[in-house]
Amino acid sequence: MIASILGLLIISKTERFDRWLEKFILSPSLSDQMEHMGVEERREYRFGNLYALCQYAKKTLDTAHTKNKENVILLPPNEYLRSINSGFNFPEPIAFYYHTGGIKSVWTTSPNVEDANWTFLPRGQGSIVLVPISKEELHKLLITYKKYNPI
Amino acid sequence: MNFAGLLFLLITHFITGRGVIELFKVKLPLLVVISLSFILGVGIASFFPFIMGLLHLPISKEVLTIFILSATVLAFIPLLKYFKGSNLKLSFQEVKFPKIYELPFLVVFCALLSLSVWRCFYYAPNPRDMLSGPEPIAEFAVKEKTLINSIYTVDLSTTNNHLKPLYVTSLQIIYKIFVQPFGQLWLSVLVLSFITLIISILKQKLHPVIVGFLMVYFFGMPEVFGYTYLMLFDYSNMIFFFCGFYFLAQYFSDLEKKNYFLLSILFFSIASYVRSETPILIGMTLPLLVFYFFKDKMDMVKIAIKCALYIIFPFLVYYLAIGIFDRYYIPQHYTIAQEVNKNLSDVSTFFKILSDMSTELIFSDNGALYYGYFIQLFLFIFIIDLIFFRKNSSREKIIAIYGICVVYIGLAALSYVFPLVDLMHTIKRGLFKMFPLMLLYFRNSGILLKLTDIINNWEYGIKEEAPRPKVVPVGNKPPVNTNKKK
Repeated sequence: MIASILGLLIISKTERFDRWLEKFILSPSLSDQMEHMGVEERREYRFGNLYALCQYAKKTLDTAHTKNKENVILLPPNEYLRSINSGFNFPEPIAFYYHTGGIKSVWTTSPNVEDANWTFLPRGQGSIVLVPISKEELHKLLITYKKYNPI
Repeated sequence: MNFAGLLFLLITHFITGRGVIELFKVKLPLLVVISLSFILGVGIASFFPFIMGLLHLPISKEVLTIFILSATVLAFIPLLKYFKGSNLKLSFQEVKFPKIYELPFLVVFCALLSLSVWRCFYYAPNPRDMLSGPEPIAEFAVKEKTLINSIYTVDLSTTNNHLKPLYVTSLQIIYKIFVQPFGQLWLSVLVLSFITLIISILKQKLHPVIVGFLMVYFFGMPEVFGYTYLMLFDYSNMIFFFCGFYFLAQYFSDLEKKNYFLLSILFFSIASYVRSETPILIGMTLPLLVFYFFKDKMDMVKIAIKCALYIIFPFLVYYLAIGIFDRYYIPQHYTIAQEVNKNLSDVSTFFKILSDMSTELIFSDNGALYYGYFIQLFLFIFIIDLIFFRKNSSREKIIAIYGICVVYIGLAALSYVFPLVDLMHTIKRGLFKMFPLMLLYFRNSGILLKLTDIINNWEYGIKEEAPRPKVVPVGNKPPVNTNKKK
């Protein structure tokens, strides 16, 4: 019994084990998680910014009167968003569809990029808006985004 | 969370798995049987939504319930015979309660596993490989009641994860419908069963304290532990691949145990369903089989039949999941040929990958962050065995070493042929398959067996060296534990 406990203590005091315990096992705190037990809360906890962004997109498109038209959002390239320190990062279209519960999106490199009729426009650090766009505006944006990698 | 749904699934998984094990008439210790039943039950359940998709049946709770219950009832038939047979009653006497010196380890393992189960329940699925394929397909399959759902109308040019076998998708569908919106808890069922299985297997030959320390090192692999609650293919693949190897080793330790061979084929087939590159690794084990068949002077016809069975079933499952489903059911097509390395004549790439695996993954600064000190521990024990215990080479030990080599070299070969198999993702997680095989090696390690003897002698006060567990040279019958405890 003593040998077992001593052995465990010695192993747990190894530098790497110690770091692993601290970084991956003891955090994040359980009590913090216990306070957010609802499904939506847990989604928010896990996805943070992205979750808020997807909820915003859902709300905006739900209230927009574009019933006979399929809404497709052009996602700005992540490299561009990083270059302007927007603080946002978009997932790939399939993941965006999943997070929003069925809103289609395209990357600038997507084969069906011409279908886009909405886009997110960054407005400085930490702020972004979803706006409808015309074909001309889409083409202008694509020229601006051309040199940026979507990832 | 729907606890009744979880309980229903746990019971049906267990009965399905237990019934199938009974069909194979294998005699195993109780804890091994229980854990294997859950593992097999989850594996079998993972085929249900896939089969429903193949048959164009709606993915609904009702149809799924019929599938699960039918399988459970069918699996219960062999169990009826089991319960009727008076000499085959469940014996709880063979379950030994842990000794006091095992308790510190058990407390640590229970704490870690509880945390793993909690995170598996709490966290929404997050890994990129899941969110760009299996998870959205499962989510919309539940909503739209079909596997071929609106996901396939989205731009999928950024991913190929929607083309992977439906193992995770299917289990997610089942657990989303019956348990909770994030699904995922099937992973905890597998993890808990696997840890119980591996500890039980190790304790058959090694002293519990040694097993405890080995398992601390196993748990202490951050990358591996992380995937006990992060849903992905690799942990499941590791479990089914290991079970295949374990039963293969049991079969070659005693060729009379023909059903062990069939059971190993079943586990390898499920492993091939989990990850589509597995049949290639299984194919690489064929020389070992042929070698032992010849060594044991088996009939040529029998050798041919066994080798064919061994290869055909995993490839059949692969063909069903990829060749049939992806080609004839999914609206988007994908040819694996386009991913093949265009410069195959340059073999130096293969050796570079092999070297990168050791320098960048295992022995790099980040190595311990991926795999802790487990590989170093294995190498240390392996070298000691190589120097001092060379004569002790049971078949199980050789099969474990061969399996480790197959995983290591096989992944490098796969990456050489398909550059998509990259070092920092596919190979890093593909190497998981080596670790339970290393534990299987430890079970037969000369130094650890010697250490077990020493501790047992001291613990039970045996003066002379007891003949336990005796490791015999290749080709003989398996080691028999003849030690009589006081």
